[in-house]
Amino acid sequence: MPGTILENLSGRKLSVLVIILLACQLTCFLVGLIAPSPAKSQPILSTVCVDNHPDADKTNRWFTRQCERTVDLSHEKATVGLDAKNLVFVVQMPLYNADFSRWQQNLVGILQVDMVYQKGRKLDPVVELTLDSRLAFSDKTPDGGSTPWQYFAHAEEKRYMDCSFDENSIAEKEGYPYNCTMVPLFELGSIYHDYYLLNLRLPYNYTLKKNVGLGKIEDIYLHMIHMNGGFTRVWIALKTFFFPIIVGIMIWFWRRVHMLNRTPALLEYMVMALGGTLAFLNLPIDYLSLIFDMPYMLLLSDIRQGIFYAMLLSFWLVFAGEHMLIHDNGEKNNIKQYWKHLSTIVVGCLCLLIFDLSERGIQLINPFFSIWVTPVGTNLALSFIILAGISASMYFIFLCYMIWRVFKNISIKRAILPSMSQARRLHYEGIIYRFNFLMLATVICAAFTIISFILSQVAEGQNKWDENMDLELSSVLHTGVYGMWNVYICAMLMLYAPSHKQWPSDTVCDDGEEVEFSRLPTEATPNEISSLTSFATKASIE
Amino acid sequence: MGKVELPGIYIYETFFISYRRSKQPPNKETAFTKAIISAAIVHAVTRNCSKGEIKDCGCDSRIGNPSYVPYTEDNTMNISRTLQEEIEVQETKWSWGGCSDDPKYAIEVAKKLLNGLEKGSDAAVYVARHNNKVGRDIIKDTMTKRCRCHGVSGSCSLQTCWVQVSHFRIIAKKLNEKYIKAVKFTQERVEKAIIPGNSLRDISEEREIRGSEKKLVYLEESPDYCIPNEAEDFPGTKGRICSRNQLEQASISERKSCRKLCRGCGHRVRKIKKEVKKRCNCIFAWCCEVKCDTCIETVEEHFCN
Repeated sequence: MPGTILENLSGRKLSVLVIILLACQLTCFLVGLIAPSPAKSQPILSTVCVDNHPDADKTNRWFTRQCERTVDLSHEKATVGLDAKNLVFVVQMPLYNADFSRWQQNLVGILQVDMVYQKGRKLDPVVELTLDSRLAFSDKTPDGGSTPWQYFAHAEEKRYMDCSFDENSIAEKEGYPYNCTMVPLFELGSIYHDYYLLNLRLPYNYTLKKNVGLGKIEDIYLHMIHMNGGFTRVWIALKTFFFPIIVGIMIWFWRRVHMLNRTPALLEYMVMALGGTLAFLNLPIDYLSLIFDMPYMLLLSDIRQGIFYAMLLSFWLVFAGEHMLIHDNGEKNNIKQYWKHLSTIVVGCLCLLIFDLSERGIQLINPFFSIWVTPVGTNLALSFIILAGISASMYFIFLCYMIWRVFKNISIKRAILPSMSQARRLHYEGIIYRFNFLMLATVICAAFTIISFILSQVAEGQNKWDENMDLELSSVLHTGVYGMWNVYICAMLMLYAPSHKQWPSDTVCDDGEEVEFSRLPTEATPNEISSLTSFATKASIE
Repeated sequence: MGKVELPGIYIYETFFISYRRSKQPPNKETAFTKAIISAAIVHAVTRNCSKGEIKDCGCDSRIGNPSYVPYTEDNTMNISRTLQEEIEVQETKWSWGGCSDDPKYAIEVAKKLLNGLEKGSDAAVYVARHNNKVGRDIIKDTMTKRCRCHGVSGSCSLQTCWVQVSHFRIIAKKLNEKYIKAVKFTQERVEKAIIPGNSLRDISEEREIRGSEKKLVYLEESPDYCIPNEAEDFPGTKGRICSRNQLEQASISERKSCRKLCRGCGHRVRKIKKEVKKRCNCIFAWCCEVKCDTCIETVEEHFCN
C-alpha cells in the first residue's frame, strides 16, 4: 500500500526540498525590502470657503481651493455675519499637483476637528457631529488640464468624537486646543479617478439637534490614507509568481492521486481544497482594477482572505483528526465526522462575513457609511465580532485537544517501538519524526504570523518621530508572512502527495509479529493514506 | 510664505519681544524670541504645506540636497531648467511610496532662513543658532502620533500611523517652560563647549553646544525692562496696560501683572473707567458667534503711570 511522499522521501531529498522552500521564503522577505510601506497617509488642511447661496441646489456646485472667499476661523472677526450653512470645508485630494494612481488601490478618509477652549462654553466629553459631505471626482486630460468636477457621492452622517481638556495644568485656557479623537469619514474601495474633492458642511439646527454640541472650530484636517503603489506592485508580483506554481503543483498532485486504484482520501481532498483556496487568493485579479472601476475589490479581497483562512483552519482540524483516529472501526473517513469542529469555523466566518458585508458592503453604495455610528449598529457589529471570537476560541480548544491526543498516541506507541524489528522501527521512527517536523513547521508558521503582527504593531506604535524612518519593517513582514503561507501550502501539497514507492516492510519483513501488524483489518481499507494513520489505528485497537 | 503669528498670550509679561535684523543682546528674552520665531516659521510653513499652498513640500527631492536654498532669485533659474524632469521624478515617487507628511521641509526652510541671518562665528552666533534649533526641535518633540487600522474588515492587520504637528498654543506653552529654565553660559564656556571643528562654512551650519541639550542658552543678563532703552529697542513699562482681574479664568501672570509691570518698576497704577460696547449674553452656537446682544459696559483699565 502506498504512503505519502513525506514518509518515503529520503532524508537527503527532503533536506534539498526544505532548503529550496526556505530559499523561497527568504526571497519573499527580501522582496519586501524593495517595497515601501503598505500604506501612507497625507494630512490635508481644509480650506474654509464661504457659500453665499447656501440654500441653492448643491448637486453640481463645487467649491475648490481657489474659491472666491475664504475665511480663517481662528479670527473671530472673519466670521461675523456668517452662518454655519455658509461655511464649506474644502479638501482637494491629493496635495501638491499630484494625481492618484490606480495602483494606490483604496482610500480612507479620517477627519480631525481642532476645537479650542472658549470662555463660558463647556464641551460635553462626547461631541456629536453631523457631517454633510459631498465627494466629486475629476480626471486628467491629455493636454495637462482636468475635467470639470463631477458628482460622486453625498450623505449626511453622524459621528461621535471624544474630547478632553486638562483644566488644571493649563494657565491660559482661552484658545487652548481640546484633545479630540479623530472620526472616520469615508472609505473608497477603488481609486479610479485622478482627483477627488470633498465639500464638507457642518449644518447647525437647534431643533433637530444638529451640531449643537460643537465648540469653536479652528481647523479641520482630513487624513487621507492610501495604499502605496510600490507596495501594490510588489504584492501583485508575488501573487502572479505564486499563482501558476500553486496551480501546477495542484495538477501534479491530483494526477498522482488519480493514478492510484482507490478513491482519494479525505486528507487528500482537504489538501486539494486548501490549494484551491490559496490559488483563488493568489489569482491576480487586482490587475483588472487598473483598467476597470472595481469598488468592490476591498470587499472581495476580504472575502478571499476569509475563505483561505477558514480552509487553513479546517485543514488543521482534519489533519489532526486523521492522525488521531476518531473512527476506530475502519469506516470510510468523511467530512461529516468533523461537523462539530468545523461548525465553529463556519459560524465564526459567517459572523465576520455578515459584519464585513454590513460595513464594506454598504460602503459600496454610500462611502460615508459606518456601522459603528448608531448604537444599534455598534451592538450588532460587536455581537457578531464577539460571536466570531467565541467560535474561534472553541475552535482552538478543539484543535489543541486533538493535537494533544495525537501526541499521546504517539508517545504510547513509542514505548512498544523497541519490540519491533530493526527495519520497521526505523521506518516508524522516521514517520513520527516527519510528522513532528510538519507539526513544528505549522507551529513555527503560526507563531511567526503572530510575532510579525505584534512586531508591525510595535514598529508602527513607536512614539518618536525620527528623520530617518527609511527601513520599512511592516512591508517586509507582510510579504514575508504572505510568502510563508504560500511556501507552507506548497510543501503540504508536495509532501502529502501519494508516493509510488512500495513499503519496504511489505517485502522485507517475515517476522510473525510484523505480519500480524500489517494484516490488521484497518489496513485493508483503501482510504488510509499514511502508514502513520494505520499505526495509530493499531494503537487505538490495542 | 504664510504669515507667522504669535498668539496674544504674552501681553502681561515684563519683557518685550522685538525681532529685527540688527544684533540683539544675547539675553534670555532674545533666546526665547529666536526659539519662538523659529518654531512659528516651522509651524506656519507646515500648515501651508498641508493646505496645498506651497508646491515644494511633500515629495520634493531637492530638500535633501545641501546646495538647495529656498527662495532665492538665482535659484529659480536652476529649477525651471529641470522642471519637467522634476515633475516626472515626483510623479513616480508619489505613486510608488506616497509623499512624506512630516515637517521636514518646513524645518529646513526655517533653518536656512533664520540661521542665514546670524552671520559670523562668535559665541553669540553659536548661541543664536542653538536657540533657533531649540525652537525647531520643540516642533518635533510636541508632535503627536496617531494611528489608524485599515486591514481586513477594518482590523489591525494593516495599520498606518502618522505624526502631526501640535497646535501652536501647545508649542508656545512648552517654550515658555524652556524660557523659565534657560541656562546662562559665559562666552568662554560656549567657545569651549562647541565641539571642535573648522569655522562655520555653511551659512546655516549649527554647532552642538555641550551641556545645553534642548535648553535655551543666553550669555547676558537681561537689562532692566522698566527703563526705556532706545538703543536696545524697548520702550520700558511706562504706559503698559496691566490687569487687576482676579477672576478664576485669569492666569497667574495676569493677576500679578500690575505688581510686576508697574509697582515692580516704581510706577504707579492709574485706573481709568471706560465705557465700551461689548457683545454679551451670547448663545454659543457653531459656527460663528451669532446670537449676541450688544451691551454697554463700564470697564476699569489699569495703566502704569
